[in-house]
Amino acid sequence: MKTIVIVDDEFALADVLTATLSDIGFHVLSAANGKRGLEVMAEHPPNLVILDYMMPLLDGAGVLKAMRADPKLSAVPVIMMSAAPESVVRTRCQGYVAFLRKPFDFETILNAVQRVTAGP
Amino acid sequence: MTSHEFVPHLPRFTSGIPGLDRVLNGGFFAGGVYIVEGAPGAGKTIFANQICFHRAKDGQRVLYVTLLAESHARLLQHLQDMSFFDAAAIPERLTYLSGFRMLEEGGLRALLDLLRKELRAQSANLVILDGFAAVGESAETDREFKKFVHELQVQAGLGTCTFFLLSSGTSGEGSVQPVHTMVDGLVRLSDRVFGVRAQRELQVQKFRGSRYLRGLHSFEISDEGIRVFPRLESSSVASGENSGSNRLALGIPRLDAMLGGGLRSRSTTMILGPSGVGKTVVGYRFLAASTAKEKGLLFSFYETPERVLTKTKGVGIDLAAGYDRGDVELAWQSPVESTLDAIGWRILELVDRLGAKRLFVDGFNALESASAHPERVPQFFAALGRELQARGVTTIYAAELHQIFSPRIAAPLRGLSPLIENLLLMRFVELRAQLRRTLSIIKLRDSEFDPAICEFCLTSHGLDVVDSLDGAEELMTGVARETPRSRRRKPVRLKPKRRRG
Repeated sequence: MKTIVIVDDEFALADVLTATLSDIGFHVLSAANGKRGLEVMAEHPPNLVILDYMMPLLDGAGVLKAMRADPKLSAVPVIMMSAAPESVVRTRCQGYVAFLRKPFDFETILNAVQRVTAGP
Repeated sequence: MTSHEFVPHLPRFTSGIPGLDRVLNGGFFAGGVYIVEGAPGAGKTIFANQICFHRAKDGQRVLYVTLLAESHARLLQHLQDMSFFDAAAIPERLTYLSGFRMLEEGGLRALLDLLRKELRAQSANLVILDGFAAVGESAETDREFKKFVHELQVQAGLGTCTFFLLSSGTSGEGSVQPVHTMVDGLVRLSDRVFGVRAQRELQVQKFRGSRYLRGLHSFEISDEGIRVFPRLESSSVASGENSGSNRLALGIPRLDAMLGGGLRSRSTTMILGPSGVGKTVVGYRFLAASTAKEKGLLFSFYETPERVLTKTKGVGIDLAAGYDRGDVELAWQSPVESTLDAIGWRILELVDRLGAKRLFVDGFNALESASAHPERVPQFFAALGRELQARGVTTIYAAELHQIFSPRIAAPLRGLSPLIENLLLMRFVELRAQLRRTLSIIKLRDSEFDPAICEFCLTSHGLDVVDSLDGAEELMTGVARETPRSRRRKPVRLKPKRRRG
């Protein structure tokens, strides 16, 4: 079973995504801020991270930078999501495999997750 | 040592909400903690975001922290069509965060830690806490809740950061909760229903460190965001001035003669009469006499500018020339769904922009009925009158009498008589199976006037005052009769006098 870590301060979206992705066979963990997200990843090495951009304590850009500097996490694909447009996010974040502009529908996130996790 | 050396004055910042800073006598104090309270839909979120984007535009750093509120994506979707919205400010100058999980998992202490850390990390000058009621619900005691607010105040003071706490309020309007006693200010937003109409109202219930305009002030939400209309009588600073000694001609020679040369400058005149009698034509003639030095403004509730120009052309009044020269401005105001103060401020803004000295308000009744609080109408008109007088404006209101023929005149003047300096009455009169129009001066303050009841005619070249109806009596009842003597000697004149020249 592949593990997905969702890092998002907005509890409602994180909870719904956690439940939905669990329903289709993923092992899903969530964290409400970037700092806690890195702790969860250290405890449960993920196959995919779904990462919000604006978060307290450590934002998405900070998490991505820390992941790329960590040999255990540097290769983990990241789907970045934000209410801000990608043009804004891209100025501070590089190395994510997909970007989802909030709000998005369920099919959009599901397609992105399945595409990224489709590999061997 | 002066008081200024002893304690430096707190700096203020403007809110970016038109009209609000006037209510606050200059804006919010930096480093203050303010509660913004209102039922769902009252406008709290727009209120706070308008301040956020205004501060971000000034280069300040702003944090918008939600608790139990709509998602950030949905929030931004709702805001993005507002003119104050600036996508470029997000997230570098304006960051949206959720603190609910921290509150759920770690209580008030965890939320305070989060705010403290983020405030320092982002060097924020302004923090919005949206969903403040959730903090109260999470507090186990009133004391814990008050301690939370107290710590916010300490943080605000240390970093000169201002906090706005948005709350739907858990108790009834007007109630005082313990936490209200601690904060620096309390702003209440409400949406009241009067009959089938609704009116948004703002009340500053508490504002430490400054005087402010008390009571209810109406506000509107449009694509421009929130605009507050301070209650005119509370914010009017103009002192009452007497009307001037020079006179402004109405442009109707016989009537001007009856008035002793015209209306005194800076005076307020009401023309009373039933629909169709010709009140508006008198007002149009008054405006047609506008010049570059004495500009005129029409504020109409009924006729659009295009229709006014067509109508005046049809009755031989050359208003278009003044309009084309820029000496006359024509403004139209929908008679429905606007508040008394919104209309009052619009009139003053138009007068200021144009530098108008002649004002004709066509639709006094519509203005009067815009008030959700009829008891304040006299005070409103007194304040509007003072403001217009201070600007050197001579004003004419056209007011409708509902009875076409009646011995009783139910004038819409409850409590307004002292405010109206001049009163002209226009009526239909039935005489010898003919419909006649009469005009009389009822009141002309501090001036002598011709008391005759004159007949006038609407013609293709405007309005002609003909002559006094000497041969008739009981004209004021609306159904006149000839005096016995006139029946014998001289018929009542029916046709207009030919004008000389």
